[in-house]
Amino acid sequence: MNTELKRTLRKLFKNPSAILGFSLLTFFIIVAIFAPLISPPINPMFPDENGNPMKLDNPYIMPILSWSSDPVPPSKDHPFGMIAGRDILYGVVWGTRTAFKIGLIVVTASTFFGIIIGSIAGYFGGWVDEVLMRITDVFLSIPFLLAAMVLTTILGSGLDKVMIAMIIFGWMATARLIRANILQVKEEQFVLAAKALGIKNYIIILRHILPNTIFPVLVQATMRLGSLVITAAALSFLGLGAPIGYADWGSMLNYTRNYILGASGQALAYWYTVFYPGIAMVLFVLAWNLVGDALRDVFDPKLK
Amino acid sequence: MSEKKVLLKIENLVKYFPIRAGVFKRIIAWVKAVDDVSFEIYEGETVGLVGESGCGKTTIGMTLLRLYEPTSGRIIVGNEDTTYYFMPYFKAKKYIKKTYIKKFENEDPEKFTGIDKKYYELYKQLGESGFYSKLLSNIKEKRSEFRKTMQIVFQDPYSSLNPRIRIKTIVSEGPVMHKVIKKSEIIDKVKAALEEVGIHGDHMYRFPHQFSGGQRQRIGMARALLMNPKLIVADEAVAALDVSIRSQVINLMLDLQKKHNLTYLFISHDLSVIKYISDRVVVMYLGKIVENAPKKVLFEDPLHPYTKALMSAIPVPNPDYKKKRIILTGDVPSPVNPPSGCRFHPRCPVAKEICSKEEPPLKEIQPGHFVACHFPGSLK
Ligand SMILES: Nc1ncnc2c1ncn2[C@@H]1O[C@H](COP(=O)(O)OP(=O)(O)O)[C@@H](O)[C@H]1O
Ligand code: SF4
Ligand SMILES: [Mg+2]
Repeated sequence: MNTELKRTLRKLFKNPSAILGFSLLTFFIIVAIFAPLISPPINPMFPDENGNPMKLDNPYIMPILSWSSDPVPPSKDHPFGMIAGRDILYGVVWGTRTAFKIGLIVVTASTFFGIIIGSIAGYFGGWVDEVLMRITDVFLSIPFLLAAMVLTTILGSGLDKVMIAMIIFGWMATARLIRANILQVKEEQFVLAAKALGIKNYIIILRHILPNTIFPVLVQATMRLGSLVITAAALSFLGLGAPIGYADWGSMLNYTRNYILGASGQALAYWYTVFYPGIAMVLFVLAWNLVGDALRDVFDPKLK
Repeated sequence: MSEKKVLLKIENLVKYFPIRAGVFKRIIAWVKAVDDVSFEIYEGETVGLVGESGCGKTTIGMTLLRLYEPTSGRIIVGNEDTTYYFMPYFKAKKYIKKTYIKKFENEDPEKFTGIDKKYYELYKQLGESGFYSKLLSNIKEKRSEFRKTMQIVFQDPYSSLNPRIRIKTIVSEGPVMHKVIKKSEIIDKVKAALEEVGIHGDHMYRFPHQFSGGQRQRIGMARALLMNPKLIVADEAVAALDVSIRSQVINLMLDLQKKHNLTYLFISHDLSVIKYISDRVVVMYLGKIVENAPKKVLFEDPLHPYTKALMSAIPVPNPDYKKKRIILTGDVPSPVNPPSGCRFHPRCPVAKEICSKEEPPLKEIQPGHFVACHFPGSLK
């Protein structure tokens, strides 16, 4: 096992795109963990009774540092510039935490439901399978953005509501994938051979069926983790997601709507308002995709 | 080998698969894959099971190993009825009642033979409840014993080994579970088993994808072999291999047979392979046995028109020798609605009126030579 692990790691670190993926991901994790040090959640505009800057009740609500809502170009105090009176660096840093929160919660929950529904369909087959797969088809046939809009109209807008919508409409691909894999692996001759050897059922499932079905699902989940942040951003951009001023990359881009075209005569005057949140998002998606790719290589026994 | 001992006896084996349709998945028909098949396998011999694709060979193998539950019939291994071993308790009880208790109560004990006679003695000695508990007790040990007696080698070298685990685990998991080998012996025994089939012992730490098709079939042999079985069912075990490798693997199987006194049920659609390896040949057509004879007898004097037709399709090594080819027209009919009477009659060149009306029974025409045909030997 140990040598195996070493070999896998060595192989992983020979692959430049895997290194890039894991480095980016590590970088984002560090930023998320050390967010309070990089951008302390305080508002210098409002001193408390001792004259120190006020601590924020909710660090995810970006403090308003200036009454001018126009973009302010990057400076020493605000290296990414400002928009709507808020520090863009602060938003990008705390937005990293938001991105992880959205991605991890939505992917974990929707993958979990997908695995349960898909496994039940695959194992039991027959009419159980039929019913579950028809339900899956119904969910798949509803356009996601439309469904999310309807759902947020019913539940009210907000990041949690958007996440609920993404979970409710995010499990189908996983369910189909695990079902198809189980159906296939159930018929494999090595499963029959294990039965002929009299291997116990739970060992057949744990050793012979699950390892040959679950990894593609994990890879798929990893890849989805990044792209979910884009979906959430799209919903925020439409005003369905995080509230105004929330440290979320999508909501920050929402501010820039009025400035995207730049000032008259200077098309790129406010580039920093789009660039920093945008690049964070792009790199986040890229990181998860590269990691997903690397995991696929690791999990695929044929490529060992 | 003066007196041959029966290792496996299959009696009236039937396996139907349901065909379901509609929203409620009701059963609308049955695939009669194996329909009333009986034959015996003697210790140490190789029985070749041959027939066109789709005639039920794999189903027989899978049912023997209890990867499918038989629809009806008996599977007797050595001196034990193993048919009920893998049934749930109440089904097993019902089976024993139907098969033995009813018979013992209603039929003349003088006429009982073989296993019936043996079980009747038990029944008289232990009484009804004692007989039940004797048969139903220690079912786990009985299952384990059954698994150790019979093993299988599959056709597809690429699907028959789990790609995610090492050869060592693949080969040893069964024997360790059944305590055929101790955990402390795994490395030595796996090494020995691999080397016996011509795989380097140190390769036990590799994964299946690091081997070629022929090597994988050898590993499949090692996996079966380490269970120390008496019978190995080889289902098209060499069909997927290149011709050159095929003969190596067949020769390996023959060597192992001598060394371990193995018995083989060798399933193949290829008569030339069957001719090479078998001692006795069972020919199947559409879920039924049509002919069963020692190899020499069968190849010199095939009596069933279907056997004859299959043989005429084998390529002849000597081009000067002109053989009349009997062309089998049409496909194998569907086992869902098999033809009436003799199932071969729509394709049989010598069929007469009776053939579509009456099913020919499998009769012993000469000692050890069974044929199911109204006009055996009439196709020249
Ligand atoms: N699991 C199954 N369910 C339904 N039908 C089956 C199943 N397995 C085999 N059959 C059918 O039973 C018949 C015999 O198949 P098989 O035993 O695989 O034949 P062979 O091995 O001689 O080619 C075929 O018509 C096949 O379609
Ligand atoms: S019984 Fe009739 S149809 Fe069947 S094989 Fe014999 S001759 Fe042909
Ligand atoms: Mg077959």
